[in-house]
Amino acid sequence: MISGRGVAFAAAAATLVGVAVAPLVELVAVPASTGRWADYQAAFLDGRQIRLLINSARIAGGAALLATAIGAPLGFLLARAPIRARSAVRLGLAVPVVIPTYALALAWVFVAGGAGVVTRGFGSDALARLTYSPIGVVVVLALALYPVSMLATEAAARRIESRLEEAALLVAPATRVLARITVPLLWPSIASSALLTFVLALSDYAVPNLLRQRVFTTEVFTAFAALYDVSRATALALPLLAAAAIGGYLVASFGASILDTGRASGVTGVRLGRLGPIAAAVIALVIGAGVALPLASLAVEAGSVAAIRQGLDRSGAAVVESLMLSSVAATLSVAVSLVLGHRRARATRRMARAVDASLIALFAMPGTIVGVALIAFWNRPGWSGGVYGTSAMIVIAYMARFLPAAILVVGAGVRRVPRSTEEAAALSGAGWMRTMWHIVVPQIRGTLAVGWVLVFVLAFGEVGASILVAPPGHAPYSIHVLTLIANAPSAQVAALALVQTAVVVCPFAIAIAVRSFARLD
Amino acid sequence: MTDLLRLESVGKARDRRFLFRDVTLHLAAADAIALVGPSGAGKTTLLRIVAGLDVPDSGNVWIDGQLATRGATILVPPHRRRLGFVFQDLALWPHMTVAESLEFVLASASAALSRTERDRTIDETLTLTRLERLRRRYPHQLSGGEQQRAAFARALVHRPTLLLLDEPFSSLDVDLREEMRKTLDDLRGTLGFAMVFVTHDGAEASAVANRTFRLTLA
Repeated sequence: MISGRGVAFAAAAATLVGVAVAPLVELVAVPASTGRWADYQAAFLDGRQIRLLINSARIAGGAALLATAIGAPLGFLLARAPIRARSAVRLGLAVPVVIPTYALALAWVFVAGGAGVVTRGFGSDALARLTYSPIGVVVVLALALYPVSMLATEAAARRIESRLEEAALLVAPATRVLARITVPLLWPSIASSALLTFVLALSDYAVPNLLRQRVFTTEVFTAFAALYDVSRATALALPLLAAAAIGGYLVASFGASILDTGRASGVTGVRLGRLGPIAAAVIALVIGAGVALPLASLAVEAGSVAAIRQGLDRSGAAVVESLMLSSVAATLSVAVSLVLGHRRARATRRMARAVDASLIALFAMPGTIVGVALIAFWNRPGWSGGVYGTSAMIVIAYMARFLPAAILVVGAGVRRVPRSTEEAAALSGAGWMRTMWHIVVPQIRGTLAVGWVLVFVLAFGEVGASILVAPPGHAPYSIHVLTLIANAPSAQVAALALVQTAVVVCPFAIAIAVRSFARLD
Repeated sequence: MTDLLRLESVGKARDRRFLFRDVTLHLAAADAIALVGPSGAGKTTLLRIVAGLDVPDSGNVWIDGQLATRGATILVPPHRRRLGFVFQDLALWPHMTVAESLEFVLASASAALSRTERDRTIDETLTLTRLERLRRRYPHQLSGGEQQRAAFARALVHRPTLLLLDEPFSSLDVDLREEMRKTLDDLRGTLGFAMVFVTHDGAEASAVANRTFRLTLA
């Protein structure tokens, strides 16, 4: 007899495979299925590919280094320094990670682009040349992604057992303890978050597209959407697929659970002394560059509240549709991740590591590649072709991109639920479904809410996959804004980008504030 | 003769309730005192105050004739008190081998020692704690008893005059506990340090110490 647990797991696993795994497998197999074996060789050895690889890796590497250099010290300060209104500061610093990257890039274009405020003010295009260069992409991506390193470092610094540092403080001054005990213990988390940042930077489409840099993701989009060369798109996708898979494996191998912001241990605080004002200035500078300046730039460019209202009137339908599609994707993702996250949490160590590596690799998969893969898999005669022409494809695209992250988050939450509480329920005669509903879910309600908000926020700003799979007449809001950039007045574009930023920042702010007050403080 | 450790009217409150107050205690060189009392009486907190890892709300702590803590002000930081500390959970550094831990302590606490002297001291300490063959092992590669000896080695390698132990044997089985007590006795016999030993076990207190100081729930 098939158990309820078996049915639930089979359905959840089939969903993950159908939306995220099978399309990628099919994409990899396209050259083989069409007999174009040389495409595999060309994917890694062709001169153009290698130049593209070097450019993409250089930009992603620079962004990862800069993001880590900004994020890791901030994370340490958040965990250990006596910061007033810590939750608010954390929120302010974490906001850029949820602002759609196209909105950040757009804001910097309004500040330092060819017709930007600075360029007009100084009458020189030196800064504009820098903005439309690999350095510009590195800076914008670093400002978008440093919260990954910051939050991972903060969580790791809070997990370090205070006794380990106290044992060293008995024989060594604080600076030496920091260098020899604290930093080595933080290193796995810092390294794995840097790797994750690298892969996320490598997979971004919007920033290099807006700042006119040729990287893998923009080339995949051009090959597929402009030239409709599926084989070329596949060849371009293979190195990125490999990079995401290797990155996922390495992040999981470091053994640092960067998505696990579990209960903090009693931590050793640091006294900043004369460094206090410098630390405060750095925090203010980062919030200024990562949040205040971009938002102010969009607001100034939009011009007035009336312009924002007018923009909303024109794009109201797209906003409503995007909110609905993102909500559906978030709800389905949480339901699936409850089953798969529970299974991952109760897996053996070796299996758990393999699953984590696969999920991180799937999460890091570039949106344009996911889009091409979904088209290859779903656009065919039969029932899947029926699905392909509808808005359901957008939900599938969102789930393909963000369901793996939801599983990781929920899995981390379930790991904190004592297994004995489930065993006690089982001994009392409760079945799996009843145990999940009455024992597990009540203990991870907060985590499920965080998972929902994470998927919703990321989906609402998603561009790379949805721009490829959206059916005619159903462009989600972010795609709507992106396509207006070339055709509409900049004030209208800025107003719409500002609205989108507000929509994603509000639920994120509520979620992180609730989580901060409930767990970290 | 100057006391090695002197506590004068030390008090500590938590959640507006005194953990303990007016604790006055003297410890001479090579003396061994057991701090006993029920859970929540503040034994560990008192030990941390002696080490400078925590501050009292009132009272003074003198170490080797020097005022180390006055009220809530630390005058001598922990690493200048020349103490050894064995934590209840041992707190071995997971990223360092046994030898690297000792090297870190010696390089920090006895920077004036030459490299040769440092190596000799480390070898000597490893021999005393019977860890010579385990010097390249990481904590997770050691058994419970070996981890305990590694914690002793780390606490004693810089030859402190005072060793503080916070229920170090609480997680060991009866046989291993007996063996560790013997190891501690041998180390005291060889190195001659004074000791403050926290326990809630009266029998253990009389076995390891020549004096007992009882903390009661305030």
